[in-house]
Amino acid sequence: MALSLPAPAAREVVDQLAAIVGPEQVSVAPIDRLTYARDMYTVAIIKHAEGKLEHFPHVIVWPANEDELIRVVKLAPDLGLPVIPFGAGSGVCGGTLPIHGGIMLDVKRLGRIVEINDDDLTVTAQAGINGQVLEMELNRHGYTLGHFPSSIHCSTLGGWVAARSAGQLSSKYGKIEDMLIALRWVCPDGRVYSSPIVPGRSTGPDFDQILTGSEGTLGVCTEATLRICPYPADRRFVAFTFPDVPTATEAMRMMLRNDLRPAAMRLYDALDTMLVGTSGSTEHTQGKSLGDLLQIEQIGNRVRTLAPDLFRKAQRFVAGNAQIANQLELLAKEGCMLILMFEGERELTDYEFEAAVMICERLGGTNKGPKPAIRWFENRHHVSYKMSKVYYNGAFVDTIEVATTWTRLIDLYDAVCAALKPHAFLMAHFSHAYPDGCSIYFTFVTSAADADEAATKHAFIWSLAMKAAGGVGATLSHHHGIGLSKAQYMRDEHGDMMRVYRDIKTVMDDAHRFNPGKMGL
Amino acid sequence: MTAARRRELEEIFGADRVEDTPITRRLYSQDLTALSLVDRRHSADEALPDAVVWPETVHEVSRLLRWASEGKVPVVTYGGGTSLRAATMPSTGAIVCDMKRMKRVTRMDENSMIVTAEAGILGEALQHELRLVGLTLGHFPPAFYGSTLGGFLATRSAGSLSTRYGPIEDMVISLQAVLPDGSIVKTRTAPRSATGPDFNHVFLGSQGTLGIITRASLRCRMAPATRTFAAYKFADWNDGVTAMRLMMRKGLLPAAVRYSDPPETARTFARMEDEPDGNVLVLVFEGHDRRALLEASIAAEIALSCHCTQLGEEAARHWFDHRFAEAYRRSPVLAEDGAYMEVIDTAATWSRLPTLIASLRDALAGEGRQVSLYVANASSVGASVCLTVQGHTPAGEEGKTLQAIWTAALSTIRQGGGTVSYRQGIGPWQIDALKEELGVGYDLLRDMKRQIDPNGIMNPGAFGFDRTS
Ligand SMILES: Cc1cc2nc3c(=O)[nH]c(=O)nc-3n(C[C@H](O)[C@H](O)[C@H](O)COP(=O)(O)OP(=O)(O)OC[C@H]3O[C@@H](n4cnc5c(N)ncnc54)[C@H](O)[C@@H]3O)c2cc1C
Ligand SMILES: Cc1cc2nc3c(=O)[nH]c(=O)nc-3n(C[C@H](O)[C@H](O)[C@H](O)COP(=O)(O)OP(=O)(O)OC[C@H]3O[C@@H](n4cnc5c(N)ncnc54)[C@H](O)[C@@H]3O)c2cc1C
Repeated sequence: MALSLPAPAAREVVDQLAAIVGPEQVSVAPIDRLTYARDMYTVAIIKHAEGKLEHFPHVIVWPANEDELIRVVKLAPDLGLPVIPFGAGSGVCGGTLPIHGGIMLDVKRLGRIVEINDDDLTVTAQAGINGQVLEMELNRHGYTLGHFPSSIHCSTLGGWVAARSAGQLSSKYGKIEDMLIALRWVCPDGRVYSSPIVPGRSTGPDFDQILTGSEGTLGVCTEATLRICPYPADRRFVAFTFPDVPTATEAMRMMLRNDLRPAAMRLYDALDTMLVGTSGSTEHTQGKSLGDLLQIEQIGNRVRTLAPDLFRKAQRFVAGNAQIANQLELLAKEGCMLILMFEGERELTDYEFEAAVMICERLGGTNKGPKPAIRWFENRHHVSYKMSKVYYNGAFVDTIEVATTWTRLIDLYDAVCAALKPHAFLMAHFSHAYPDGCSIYFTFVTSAADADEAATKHAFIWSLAMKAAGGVGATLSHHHGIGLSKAQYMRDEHGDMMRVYRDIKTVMDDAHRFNPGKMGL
Repeated sequence: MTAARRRELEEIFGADRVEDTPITRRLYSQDLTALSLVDRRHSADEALPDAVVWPETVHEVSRLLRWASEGKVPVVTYGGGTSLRAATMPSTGAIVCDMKRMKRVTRMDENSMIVTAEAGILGEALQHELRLVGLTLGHFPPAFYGSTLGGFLATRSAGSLSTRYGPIEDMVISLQAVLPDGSIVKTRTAPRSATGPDFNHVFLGSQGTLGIITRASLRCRMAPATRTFAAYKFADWNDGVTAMRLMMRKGLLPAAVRYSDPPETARTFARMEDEPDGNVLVLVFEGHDRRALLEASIAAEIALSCHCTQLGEEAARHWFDHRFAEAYRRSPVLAEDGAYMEVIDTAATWSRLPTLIASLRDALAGEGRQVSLYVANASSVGASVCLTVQGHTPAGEEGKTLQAIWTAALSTIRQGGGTVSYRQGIGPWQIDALKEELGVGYDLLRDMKRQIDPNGIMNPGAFGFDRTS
């Protein structure tokens, strides 16, 4: 199919950019413009697949260093083009969608580790570094960052900071904003903000925490200094099943309240437990949750070859009949599975492990031994990459990650379940827990005939979820951010505080040059 | 103040919550800042506020600020007035808004260990309410009995147990504030979120320049079941620094880490029998029995591997029991003509700390003066240091001496990679150093202030943000 894209940046524009970054590092090629036209936002993926994307960047640039990046930023007003900071495009909220066109400012070539400081336990790295590369380099020096988003292979440090990312071990290591010591940041007017590398300070408001989470609307992160930890000497695994979600979340709460900090603490609700098959017989069951349902993997391969049509119909039926699919819950005899992993110094993990087992057993958990937890650990990055299969047959999937205090947690779970189950197949896990509260990660699957119907249905389901979550006072995102898809809910989330955000935007980027149309600004 | 103005204020607060008697105005024109205390000895010049008001609700605060914005009247928010950085010093014509009557605990969520309280509550009162339900905030700054939640937040305060419990900004989940134009804003009470910038941080550390904080929700912890004490004496100062660093690296979280040099040790333990001397490291572990004991024993191993002798736990207990006396030790010194005393705090990463401390000692040493210091808290990244400089000059010279001490301290801190202020906030004499430390960050803060407070009513002069300066 021939691509017909809107006109790219004019020749003079490309020349001016090339004068800064070199001709190799600027592109208006249709393939690049198409590639950079979407991130991992569900609706954009579907539109992309059907050739229905409407917006494309005028031009993509790959500066080699901060100096080039600043020059591009300073040139942008003359070119009259918006600027969109781009990490790896793994965002799931349409954060990098060029809805007004513009310059895609890909930061990935700023990919160096600047310093690993052994005394201070800090790493300073450029913002474009790939997550896995950063972690592996730290491991080589005997350290870990402790930040493991499922997208670690395909996201950048700058993207994490910009969208307040959370890793799977956040209960112990915190979210990215908790690890942050200092930032370097190119403001929309090209000035460089750089905060001091000190362990704490009382020097006015901490602007680092204002820039963090700004998702490209306040400029570009070029470097960050983060605290690191010695690579854990020891790991302990255990899993428990509980009769239901409230009993299990109570165990989580009690562990955290008693100062235990499991690195991983993941509770799957009954459906999620059954589908992830944590008690299953094969090594690779985990990560095939949706596969098991929609691909019917075990027998599916044979059916697929023998009767491809029938197979597709069966899949679509399951995805399209939420109530029926949700009934699977009745078959979920296992209850809910809670996976725990402790890591760190041997003496401390021993203590934490024993204390955790005592709490879980006292609160009615059944000890399932280490296996399910080890299996999760070994496959922990696989799950997200299997989602794509779901799309092949007209189904689509998205995740909603909300968070609230322990007191309101079950209300939140019930409210979102009640709102969504009539419309989508829904399961949930609780994977980021803190002494004061927890996030819930809902996965919904449904189907649509085409991109337009998918977009409508997607928006409808999200609006129900956001209303349900907001109704119990939950925050509308724990770690995926806002981007484009949730921009309309920023007012619900922040009320008049949006004025403060606008004031900051006015001060830094009055012309709305940076990532326009996002974050409800 | 004109009668008309007074009437307008009375309309908001009622007659009994507006005061403009000379004595009240005078009382509120003073905080505990050393420079201004010594100045007072020799000069009658002082900027007096026009009046003091005591709001009881967020709506009254809102009406006050709307009124002040319209009339371009400066407002100085006042908590306990324990700032050592002239943070509540009014400009002439200002209205002082004393928050201490907004002091209710409005919600106690024991399940989530979150307390919500109004900003005027005193640190001790808040802790008392928490103790009743088996919780603790873990925030114990020296001026705990006389400082308020709003003051903690507005200065990013840290207490003596912050190694375990964190500074106040780590405890804040959400807050409510009134913007200069009177609008009431708030943040969500959620454990973490990813919905844009963290707007709590607009107000944390703002020292009254961006609005008035009226309420906050804070993370608490279980009140500790046990507490263990230990003290170690190091022949070489730097060995003690290494020991602390290694403890943090191991993932230990003592409630308190307090490491004093010999003069500080002499001050701290002066009233103890068999008082220790030298470089003394006090450690306090608290929490669950087994955990606290386990951590204490790992810490002991580390300390002993760094060439120290173990002291009895008495020294540690003594420090712990007397830690709030600090605030009261200042007064006798300051009453006397020619006497001065100043507290300077900074923080640096471990790799810079030993050199920074050594150069601060050199830079501040002088005739007739004693410099003592202690490490007040530690993390895996670095530690904070608190220096006390105390001495005598001919009467009338105190101010000049203090200025010289600050100049030397700030340039040494800047050169050594420390921060201009770890916990006390920023006084007018620190602004140039602050600009150096923050660079573009300073300009952003200033511009944000001007945007949010276009009439410049909130604590004018603070941070040097005024248009005129
Ligand atoms: C399979 C999969 C699994 C995922 N799992 C997780 C998870 O476990 N935890 C989690 O937190 N997220 C997860 N995500 C979401 C996503 O990976 C995160 O939002 C991540 O932080 C985005 O990083 P990125 O480098 O890809 O940023 P992008 O998608 O390129 O950009 C995200 C936003 O940040 C801005 N931005 C990017 N770089 C910069 C910069 N240097 N300066 C300023 N702004 C910038 C962009 O303009 C955009 O608004 C997952 C995504 C996928 C596809
Ligand atoms: C002996 C001594 C030792 C000290 N040691 C420490 C220490 O170890 N750690 C530490 O952190 N501090 C220390 N301090 C400083 C002081 O106690 C803290 O800065 C404290 O947080 C101030 O609280 P306050 O209620 O007294 O505030 P105030 O002094 O009344 O005000 C401080 C600043 O906050 C602003 N403010 C107050 N309330 C509000 C509000 N509700 N909304 C907006 N702005 C507001 C004021 O305008 C002012 O700018 C010490 C003080 C003394 C006297």
